Amino acid sequence: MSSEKKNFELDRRSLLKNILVGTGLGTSGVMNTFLTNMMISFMQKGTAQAAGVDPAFEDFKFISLVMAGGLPRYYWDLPLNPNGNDDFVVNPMVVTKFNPDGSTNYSTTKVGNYYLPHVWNSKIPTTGGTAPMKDIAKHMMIMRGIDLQIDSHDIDRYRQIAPVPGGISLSGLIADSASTPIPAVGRNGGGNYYQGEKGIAYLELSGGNPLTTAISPFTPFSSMLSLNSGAVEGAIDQALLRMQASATNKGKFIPSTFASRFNAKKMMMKQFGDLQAQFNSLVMKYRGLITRSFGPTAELKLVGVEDISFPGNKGPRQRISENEYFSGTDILSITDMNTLIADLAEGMAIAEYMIINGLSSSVNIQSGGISNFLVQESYNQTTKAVARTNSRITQGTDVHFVGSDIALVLFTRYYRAISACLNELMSRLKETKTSGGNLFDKTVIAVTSDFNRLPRLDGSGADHGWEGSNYTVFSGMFDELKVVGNVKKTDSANRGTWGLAGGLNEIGGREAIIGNVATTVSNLLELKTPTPNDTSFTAKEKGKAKLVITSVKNVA
Amino acid sequence: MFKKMSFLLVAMSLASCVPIAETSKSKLDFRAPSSIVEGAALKDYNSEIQMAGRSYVESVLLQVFDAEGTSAATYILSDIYQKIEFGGACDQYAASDVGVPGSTTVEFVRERCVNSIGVVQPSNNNPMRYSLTTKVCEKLVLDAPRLISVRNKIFADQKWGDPTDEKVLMAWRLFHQATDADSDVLSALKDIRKVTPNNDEAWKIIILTLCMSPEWQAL
Repeated sequence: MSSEKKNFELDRRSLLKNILVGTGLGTSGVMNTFLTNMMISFMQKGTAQAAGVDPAFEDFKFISLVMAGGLPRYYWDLPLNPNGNDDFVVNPMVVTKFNPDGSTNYSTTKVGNYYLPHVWNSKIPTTGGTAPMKDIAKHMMIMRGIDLQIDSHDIDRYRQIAPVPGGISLSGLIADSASTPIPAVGRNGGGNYYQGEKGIAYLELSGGNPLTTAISPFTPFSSMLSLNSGAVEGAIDQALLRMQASATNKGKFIPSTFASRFNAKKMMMKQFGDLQAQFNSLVMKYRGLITRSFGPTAELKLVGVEDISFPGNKGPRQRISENEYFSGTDILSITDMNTLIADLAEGMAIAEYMIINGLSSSVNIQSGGISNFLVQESYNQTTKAVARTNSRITQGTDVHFVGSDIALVLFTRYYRAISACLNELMSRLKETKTSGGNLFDKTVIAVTSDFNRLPRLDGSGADHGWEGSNYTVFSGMFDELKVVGNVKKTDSANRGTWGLAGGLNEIGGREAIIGNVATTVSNLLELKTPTPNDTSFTAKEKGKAKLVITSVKNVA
Repeated sequence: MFKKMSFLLVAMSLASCVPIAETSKSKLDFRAPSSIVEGAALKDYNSEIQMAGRSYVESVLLQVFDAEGTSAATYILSDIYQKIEFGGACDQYAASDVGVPGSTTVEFVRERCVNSIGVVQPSNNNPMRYSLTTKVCEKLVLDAPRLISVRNKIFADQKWGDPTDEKVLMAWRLFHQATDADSDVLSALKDIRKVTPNNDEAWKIIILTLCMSPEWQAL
């Protein structure tokens, strides 16, 4: 064999050995051999990855579903009588069930060890039929009684993910630790509050073909020298690894750019099919779940809410906007199979595709208003005239002027849709196997909004409930429903029990704040916390989460 | 046998001493560098990496490869300058047509955005820009006249010679005006010669490696 030929066949083992010697790691023969073998196994892992066994699935994932606008949570994930015997003061806006005579009450149902709002008696649509909404609760943890300290839609919405305005975000921290090629993506503005430590970029996936937008730059052309060329490819990689190591001394973050370049290479070696078709298919799947939730068939109708039909009475409980009151023949007509939550299906499609395919570790999606809300007939109390008949409007989620009857029907269906979408995504995560279980065990899905709502005493709407917000996460790290956090049984205006934060003995009588939530999510994801001075509600043990703060009371 | 056992024991003890964070660093190939690697960089964590914008990247490639006025300029324009992955605003209104129905002629053609990512994208560290850069760099080194242009900047006699420290450093400086390569990097680049059949092929790969490196794009 000629020396040139021999040199040409310099294999990866030799290259890696040279790297280790060059970087000073291979200081002894044993150490050198051991580390070389270790490095080679990592490269083999990279080869296996290309073959479909992807270490990207071994990392933690964080999906945040941001319901923009400031949703009233007491219909769904804010239990106000969680133990079944808590001090509870009625507010006519905080109701979960109709009585047969059309009046309303706050009704609960037992789920696990707690009592959740009546909507949890609902069934949710699935791709194969229906399922009890309660099925998703066993993987759920509710943190209630969170004082956000600031009254602002945007700032509070951002702080659910980046607790200190302008500071590090949970979405950025998870991206920093990611093995995935496009670590952080989102739709509808998550980049506004995305901040990591290593300069990993956030990619906004807007438009009608977002998967193609994300993937198309990675389509290689044939015979690229830097791909699939054996020893040459290895030599290029070695030189770039040396540059990466050398760059550490030259300027901040430059090593991260090399990591991103290797991610680009990984992506160029993958095959993706028709991404537009795949996106459309996923969107249609989630839209189907949403529209079935808003226009329920008989088997999905919730007894106590959707089995009672009555006409509008133009009263405050049937307000649909600032000056409009429902005056149609059937209050249940306000949504139907055409009703959607803006951008929810698109966001869920992106989350499913990017996470299940091992492409991203941090996905931030944001839903908007309720489109195709049907106004059978409305009455304008100012002009004393019919305002609309059979009109489709977009009902916003900042529901200052949505009365209790309308809100009960609307949010029963809204949260059925949210639950159905979450159930579907969770099912897909559970089907994705990892070395230690399934991807849902490594994933935290946070469901957030700007804040909770402060209910009006006349049942005509609800204002910003930033002093009594709540935060819900879903994960395979939970095997049963967990609820934590104290709320006050009423407030200074005697508005009743709506979620106002109460003190917790475990933190010296202070109220929980968003920093406690951020530390909790960080604990679940095994990250550093962006708010190190605030304690976690949970601790991890063998991959599962347990509560270390256990208070869940209604306090004076 | 005893030696083998000793090696295994040493290896096992080494493995057991590796903290969890270190073990996870094993995925370095596709992972953001560990805090150990970045060390000092973490002192200031309240900023993202600022990368050079599309006009800078286009300019470097045009000049290093003397591509102005050649066919290469066309794909550098379409694959770099007009890709918003490299950051900056891509003004969709700048690409107005000239009023002729059906015409493909547009005013200010350089400003036409050719993909559908949002109108403004920060010029930051994303894998898409590296994929695009890699593809353009591959095209450039396979474009014989462009590679010859680079050769003539390094070798006065207009023939590829051995990749010595001096010559590799000259190539490095074509992309990096303000920093020099250290000896480890020069060695790694020179080692490319060991896996290529001749100097011509070696230099093609060296230039490609330098071209696709993100370092010269980081601000």
